[in-house]
Amino acid sequence: MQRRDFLNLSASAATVAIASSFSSLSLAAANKMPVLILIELNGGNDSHNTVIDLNQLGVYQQLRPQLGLAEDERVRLDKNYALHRSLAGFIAPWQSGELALVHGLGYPEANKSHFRSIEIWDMASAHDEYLSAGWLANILPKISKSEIDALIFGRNGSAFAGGSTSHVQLDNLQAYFNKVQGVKASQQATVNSALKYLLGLNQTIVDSKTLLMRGLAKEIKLKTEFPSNVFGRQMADIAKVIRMDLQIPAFKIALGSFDTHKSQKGKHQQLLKQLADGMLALRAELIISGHWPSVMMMTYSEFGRRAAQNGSGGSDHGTAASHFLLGGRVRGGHFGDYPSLSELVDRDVMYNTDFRAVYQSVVRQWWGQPQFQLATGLDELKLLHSS
Amino acid sequence: MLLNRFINLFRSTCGPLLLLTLSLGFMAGNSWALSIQDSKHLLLRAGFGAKPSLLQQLESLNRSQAINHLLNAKSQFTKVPSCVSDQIPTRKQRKAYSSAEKKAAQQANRQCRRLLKAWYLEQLINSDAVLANQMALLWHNHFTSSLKKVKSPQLMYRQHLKITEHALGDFSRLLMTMVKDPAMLIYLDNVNNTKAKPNENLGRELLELFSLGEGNYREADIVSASKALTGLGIDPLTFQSLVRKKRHDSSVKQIFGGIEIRSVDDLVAAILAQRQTANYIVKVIWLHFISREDPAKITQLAKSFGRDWDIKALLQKILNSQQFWGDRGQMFKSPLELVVGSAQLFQGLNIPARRMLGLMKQMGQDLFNPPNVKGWPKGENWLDENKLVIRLSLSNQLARAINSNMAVMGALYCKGNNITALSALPLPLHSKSNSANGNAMASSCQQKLANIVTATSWQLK
Repeated sequence: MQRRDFLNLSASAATVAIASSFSSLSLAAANKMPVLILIELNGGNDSHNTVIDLNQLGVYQQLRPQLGLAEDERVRLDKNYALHRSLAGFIAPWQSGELALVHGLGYPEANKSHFRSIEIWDMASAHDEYLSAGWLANILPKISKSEIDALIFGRNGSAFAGGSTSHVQLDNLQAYFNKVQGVKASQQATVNSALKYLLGLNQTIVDSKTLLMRGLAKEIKLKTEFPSNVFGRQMADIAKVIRMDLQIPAFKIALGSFDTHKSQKGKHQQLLKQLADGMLALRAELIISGHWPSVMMMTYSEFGRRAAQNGSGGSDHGTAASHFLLGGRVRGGHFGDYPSLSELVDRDVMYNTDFRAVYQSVVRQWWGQPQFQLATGLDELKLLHSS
Repeated sequence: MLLNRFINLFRSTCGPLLLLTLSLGFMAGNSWALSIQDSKHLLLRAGFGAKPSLLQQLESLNRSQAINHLLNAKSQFTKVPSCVSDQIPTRKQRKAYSSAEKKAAQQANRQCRRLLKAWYLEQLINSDAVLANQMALLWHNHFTSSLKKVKSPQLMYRQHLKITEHALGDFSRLLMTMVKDPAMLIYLDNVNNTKAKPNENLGRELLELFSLGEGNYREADIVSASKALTGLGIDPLTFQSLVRKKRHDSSVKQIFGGIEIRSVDDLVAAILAQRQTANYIVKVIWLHFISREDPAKITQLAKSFGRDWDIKALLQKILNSQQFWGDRGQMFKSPLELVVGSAQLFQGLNIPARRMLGLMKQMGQDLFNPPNVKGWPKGENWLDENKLVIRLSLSNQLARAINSNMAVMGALYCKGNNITALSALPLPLHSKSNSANGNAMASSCQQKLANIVTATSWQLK
């Protein structure tokens, strides 16, 4: 506990310097829409090989004699923690106090089915609760000043679905825009729920066409080179749309598959590299454009992985995990405690921070919605620098 | 046949109201001949759409006869591309490859994957055994494996043959076959599941997705199931599955609160002895054909299914149910149903297989490559804005082809009421042309067809 407080303190000391360099930009940022970018690490990211608690290195090496990261496969974050080498680029935003690590994130009675567990995260439900609307499905229209409240790149828009949020799912901005040119509005009254669903999609497409036409007319040219993989290209699209100032409050992007049951090391190293490179390119671009103080990225995943390695050079489904928040006004440092690797329950680490506490804190603080509540009794995490 | 003509005559002379009264009166026993609307519904759900040859075959049958006709149609597949049935090079052989040979083998493998997909698509379009094909696809999507992970088109084809063999047969045999299927053992990492180092991937998905359903087992059951599966791998020479005694954990394991199992066979028997298995499988099949769940009916069907595991008998009951016949135009066509259905209807289009496969992939369905172990999406999850846009562009292409070439369509559709057999739902008023009659001008028939394929309801079945 003491250790964590100390770290938070040192992180915020570094921030003072950074904050002053932002001061000229914060005026411009004041009337910009606060943007949240959700990053889904699809398949269950092995967080034990993403963030390493150096104080538990001995147990870690026992649990993962082959899979564990050797010294040259990690980079030092601070006195107590190291990151996977692929995340070396996170050191700079860490030192400037823009990166928060939330440890032990999960929920009670963890479900280890990919499909059920991601549903729990997307609906922000309890483990035995079945909800029909995503955690952002009804709050976004209150914040949004746009025809479209969220853009989802790639898979899984469940966090936004089932409520009044209008969201568009796409893979590539320009290709999507080209394709929607021919789509016309269709007025038709029906009681058939399947047809109603299709007509609703059709209307959203028509709305998104109008919106993107306005945005693309600004002919934004990116100043940063983004990685050429799918994740990097989609991050470039997100940066572009943010720079269009269309007042869209939320974006989602997915990377995966992190379901590394077998031969994990190479695959995981590649994925984390794609993750870091994409996130850092977006940060660089939006620092230049002055949008960075109004952008926050947040990673999540259906579960972490088993503490011990399995027999196939990989890891099986687990429970709690560490996740990242990165943004111009994010209060850098550690939140939550890294779970103990020696006190396992059914071979898994125990969660200690409810993921819904993070979700709730984000909506309350980032979008100024103090009434927003996902469940009773959730802790408030102070995620932002006081402005 | 004579009776049917009489009925058609009767239909065309009497008002629809009278017909409605009549069909209501006779519907209960499913013994009245099918109306064109009935044939359409049955073919949209049990097949891929109102294929002209099938419409003709069903013409004089009543509902239950039509169902039996479809259930008993035999798939006759043409010869598979030779690369798919060739011997698989062993690991030893592959290790001895020069770098040029290795490159050539990789290229041949990629080519063979494409050939396998194109071959299967062609069978689906040409075969009249549409219900058997629907069921094979259902099982492909239930017992998922993917070319992407398995890498061998030969092993995927062998799995496909087994699925086809049991698609309408005995579920207990299908389950046992799939658990021991080499492609499955690779797909869910059981080739790495050993006594010393267990890997739970197959054990978990077997309970969660293949038999009991999520929430109907405990974590301890997964551990026991995975142990029973240790050592079940593949012979490196024959590529048949086998249990390696040294890697197998033959200890007695407890599962489902007290059942003792040792082997893979014990495990499958224990799973089949759970009443929930029949419930779960009946629900999977029910929801493939009917948009809404009916828990009471599902429980009732599961009772007999759990005794005989007879998939064909189960299907017969589901398709004869009132719930099936009353549920029209409420489901979404899968990309495959959309593409195969279009190719069946407009045979003159001659869309190359490669292009059809590409379209399906864009719409989210890459044949033999489901996105994850849960399979392709279901219901409205098939569609988001992006996917709908792609579907609409396919519709526009079809409409252009129809408008530019009269020969693309079966003349059948431009006669009488048959054109209504193409759309799951009546079109909205503004896009309807003059009421159909036998003397409709060719151009207006073309226009109607174009309207049908571009209407939103073309996505429905």
